[in-house]
Amino acid sequence: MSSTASGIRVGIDIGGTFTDGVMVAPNGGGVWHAKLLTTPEDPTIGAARVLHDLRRQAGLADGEAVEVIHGTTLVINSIIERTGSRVALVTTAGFEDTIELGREATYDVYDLNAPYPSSIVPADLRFGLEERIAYDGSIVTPLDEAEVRTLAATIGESGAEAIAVSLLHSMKNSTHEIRIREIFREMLPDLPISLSHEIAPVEREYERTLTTAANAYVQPLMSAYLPRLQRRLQGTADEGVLMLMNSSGGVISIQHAVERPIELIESGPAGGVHAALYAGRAHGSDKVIAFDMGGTTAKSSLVDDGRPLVSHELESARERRSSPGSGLTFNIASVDLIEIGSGGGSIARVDDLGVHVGPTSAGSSPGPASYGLGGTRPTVTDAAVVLGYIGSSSISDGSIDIDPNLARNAIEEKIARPMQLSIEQAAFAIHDVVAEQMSSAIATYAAERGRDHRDFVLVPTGGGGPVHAYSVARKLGVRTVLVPKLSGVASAVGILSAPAKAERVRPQAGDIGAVSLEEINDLFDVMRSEVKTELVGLGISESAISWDASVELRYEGQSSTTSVPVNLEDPHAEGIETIVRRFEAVYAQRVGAPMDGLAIETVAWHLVGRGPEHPPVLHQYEAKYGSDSSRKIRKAYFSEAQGYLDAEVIQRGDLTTGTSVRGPVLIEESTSTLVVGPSGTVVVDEAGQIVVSVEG
Amino acid sequence: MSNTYHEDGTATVEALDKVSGQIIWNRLVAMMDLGASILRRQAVSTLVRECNDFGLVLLDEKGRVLAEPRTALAGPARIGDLVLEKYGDQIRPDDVFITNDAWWGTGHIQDVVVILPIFVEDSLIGFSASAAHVQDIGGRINDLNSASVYEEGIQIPLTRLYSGTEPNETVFAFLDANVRLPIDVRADIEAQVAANRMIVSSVHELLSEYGFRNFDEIGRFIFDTTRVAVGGMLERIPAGTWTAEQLVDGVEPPLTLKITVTHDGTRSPLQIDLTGSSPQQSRACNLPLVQTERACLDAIKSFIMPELPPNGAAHSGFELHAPLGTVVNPVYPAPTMLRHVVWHVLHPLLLSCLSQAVPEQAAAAPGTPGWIVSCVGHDRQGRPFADNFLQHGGLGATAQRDGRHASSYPVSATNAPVEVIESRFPIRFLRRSLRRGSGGSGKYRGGDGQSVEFVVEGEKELFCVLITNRTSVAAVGAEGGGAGSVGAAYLNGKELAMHEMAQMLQPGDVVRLELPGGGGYGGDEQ
Repeated sequence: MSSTASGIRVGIDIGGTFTDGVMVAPNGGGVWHAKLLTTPEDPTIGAARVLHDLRRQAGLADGEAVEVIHGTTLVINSIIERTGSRVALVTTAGFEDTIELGREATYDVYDLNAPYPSSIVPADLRFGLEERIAYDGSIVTPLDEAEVRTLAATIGESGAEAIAVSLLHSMKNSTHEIRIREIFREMLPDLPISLSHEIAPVEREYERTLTTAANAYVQPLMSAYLPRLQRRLQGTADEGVLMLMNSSGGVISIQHAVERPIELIESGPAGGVHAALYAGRAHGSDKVIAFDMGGTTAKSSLVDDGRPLVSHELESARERRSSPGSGLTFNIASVDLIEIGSGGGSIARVDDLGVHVGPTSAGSSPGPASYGLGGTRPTVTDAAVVLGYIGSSSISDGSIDIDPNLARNAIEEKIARPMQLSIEQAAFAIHDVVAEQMSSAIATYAAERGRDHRDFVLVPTGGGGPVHAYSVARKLGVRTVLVPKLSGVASAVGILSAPAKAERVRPQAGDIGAVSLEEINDLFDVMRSEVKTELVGLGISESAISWDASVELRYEGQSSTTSVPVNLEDPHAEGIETIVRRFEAVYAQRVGAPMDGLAIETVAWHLVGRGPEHPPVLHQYEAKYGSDSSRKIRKAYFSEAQGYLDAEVIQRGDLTTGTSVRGPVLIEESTSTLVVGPSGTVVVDEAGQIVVSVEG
Repeated sequence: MSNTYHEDGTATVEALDKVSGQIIWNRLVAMMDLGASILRRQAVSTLVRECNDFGLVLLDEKGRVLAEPRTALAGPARIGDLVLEKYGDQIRPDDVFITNDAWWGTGHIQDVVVILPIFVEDSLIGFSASAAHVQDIGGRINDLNSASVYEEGIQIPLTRLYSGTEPNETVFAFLDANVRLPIDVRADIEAQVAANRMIVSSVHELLSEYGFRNFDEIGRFIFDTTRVAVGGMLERIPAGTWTAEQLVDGVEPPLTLKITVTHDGTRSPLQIDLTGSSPQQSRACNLPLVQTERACLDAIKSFIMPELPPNGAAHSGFELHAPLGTVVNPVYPAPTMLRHVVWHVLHPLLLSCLSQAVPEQAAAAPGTPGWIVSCVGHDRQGRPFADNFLQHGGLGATAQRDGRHASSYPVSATNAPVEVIESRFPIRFLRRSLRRGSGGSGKYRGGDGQSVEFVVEGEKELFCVLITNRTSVAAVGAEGGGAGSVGAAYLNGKELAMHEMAQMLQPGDVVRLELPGGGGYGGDEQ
């Protein structure tokens, strides 16, 4: 995929606070990284600064062409903040309100004042057409082209900036949606059009309509942003390449991203999951729990068999962070990411039931009490300061002065006194509640997907991940914690490493016994040629493509599906029987006893093509980690001792391959501190990664 | 743990115990959530997988609720009492029990209850139990016209379903012979067994991790913390007596629910008196006491402490008087199939009664309960067919915000997608849209109801029962807000009277439902 002459590749992740970049030169030529503040008024400025910084470090001229892979929070932020475009939504007449009715669920039946998401398309921009496709794809009412033309004129005058078309049963018969696009393109050539059967090919009109409308909602924004970014990064260099990371961890072209920007919604986190995946691989483990804890939230995702679990239903933009059902659910392929709890800035409080943490966050302003920026309420970070986990200047290269007394005061007043606890006990209560919340969520998440989390290694990232990983691992019964190099810019590392990817889905509901092999072959032939075209367009040679074909199956009547691989090389040798037996085996392993007597039905056929991966060769990374030869000790609280122990404080730069240190120990680097208690032993593996073995 | 709690509700708590107690409590709730997720994924029943119509409870050895999931309906909170009464010291570690007793379970026989005892060595320490609405239980289909429970389907007395992995085939044989969809029902029951087994094994891991041999300490912690918390909240409600009354028009003739709440302003429980509510009915809308109690518990919890994880001690917040022989405490064998008609009105009515005491928590009446369309006939392939789908009216506005449009309340059910319904039912929808302006007026508007219209397709007739409500009694506003519009049902353009809600439909017939809006809050600001 290295299509520039220099072969230099760069991953750039634009987050809410920081823009991170990692640059890798080919053939062991070097690894550089940069972290600068995001420029919210125009994020391309911050990205250009990061690239400039990286080029400077590597001794490259600003005009030199490089290949940039980009991850962004622009799409998710635009949806959360409702700053997207005016979208005209075209539906079957009588179903204009589907997007507002939703599924009619109440996520908190005990709270009549619970907030719900507002519709991203207002009622006056929803338009019904007199047309109707039946459940089986037959046409009940044909499309009236004159009506479509009249509607195009109306939309043209409505001030709409993008159009979404979502007709009932378009999955079964897409001709009406396609014809509408032809007419709209002719009459409204400037408006981007999203069709539901292409953007979210699922049966269930609300979810499909919402996903399609959300795609249209962010399309004008991304159509303007991506070319601007391209110009800003590459200047006039013709051969400079810009590609995007999508939510399922695939690298896609700008053109694809402009057509389907909704796929970018979890683009940054997908990068983080891939960083964890490659860290696991370098350590020899293909089962990884990616655990990212930032300032406001903690997220987790599983990697199994060396691949991230992928979900086709993603809930985003929750009104209440900890309440499933309070957000918007999109039907796109995404790393199977879940919110597991609070972040470092989350505020702790007490009520009659005990200590609670989050979801309210002190954010970066006023921030944790110990930052001395005016915050008076105790946060998770303040608890870590009182417990000795975070030293007085161990955040952001010492750019923030931590005042432990401010943390103690806040915890004493708001937690210790009302709970009749000592300050230390109160601080540990906050830490323990947070660790419990996260470990419970991870355990439930793994069990729901039929995995035993104890077989996995935990890879913490973000400022809070390494601080909490030891406690979370002990609660989970996970034996290994792995901290990769450059964990502070993990998303950028993952973005840089992921393969180009294209995928196709063909929904097909029905008894698998009624499916013929010829039918499957034809289906996969069409999908394969589409995927191939897309990947070749990204500069991948056909022979370099690796394929994953699978079918989603379920027992008739069940809602949960199980994905089973299909042997593409030789489907004939395969046979439907083999697929059925494979399903029963996976079902027994992941879900439960086979349901005798129930038919097995297909839900959808999937095909994924991937280009080569670019796993980071980080042991080349000559650390600019801090170094300090004087031996330091800090008192830190550990539950094993029910009190404080003397913990050695080591700078990460002083740890070299082969080093072995027994806990308690605190390993500091610029972005975080790795906390290891007395039940842990630290070694550094050959890839320069920190490996913590945790005793049960 | 060495917590000491005093009768007056104050507590001396040994420091860190309070934290470990809370951690273990959280863990129990998380385990129940996992059980809920397993049940939802494995079940076949539309109402379980799409509408969350199930519940789970973890009980101690005395049958008191320790924990429930956050994301399900009420579980069979009293079922431990029945198992202990009937089996007592005959309970064995590998038993799996089953029943659908409406008076001990969750109020109607469509909810099948599965119970697993939990043993540590030779001692019974508790139970894991679930209740889930199965796809079919025989008898009449969602019909108000049953005169007794005998018409509503097969009754399963509390009995062993499994001894270890050995099924009691007699039970399954009876079920097979009495339900329309035996394979589906068996799948639903197996899903419950799997969920409970997961919970039991998680309990064992948790207890051994903490070195406990039973639930004594954690139970004491949960119950004491809850009692102290509930007492504190009760003190904040002023002394007084408040009354609320409402006609329930989902049945013909309408019946009455009446609530009187008395409180002395102290930590003492609220006195809830349902005297004045209609006598028990010979129609299937009776709400057995177990579920009346639950409706009151849910309403009070939502009023004083939404975040309290439900448990046995939460009942300490109220004492309930529901006269025997009324619609809220019917005598066996009263029919109870559509008990939600009373349940889903009782809960919001109790809230509106309580909000007289604390006006800043006032909420206008919702357009509840949801409407059910039940169909029996043949699917498009000509196979026998029975299924139903839901839709909801608008919710009431509160002192803080507009009521939501078309939403499930006081339970979290969902609609089914038009595309899913049309591929199962021999019908085609003509419309599903918001019924604009049907919410009551006010400073905050009531939520709008919705309009649903469908035509019968195919070549065969289709028997259809419409379970409607608020077609004559509007959802009233609060603090000067306007009432929501009442609902109406039409067949081929002609409005249906309450006694015409069951119809044999012919192909081409068009049914239209106009669902009620919720009440508004406060005088109009214009």
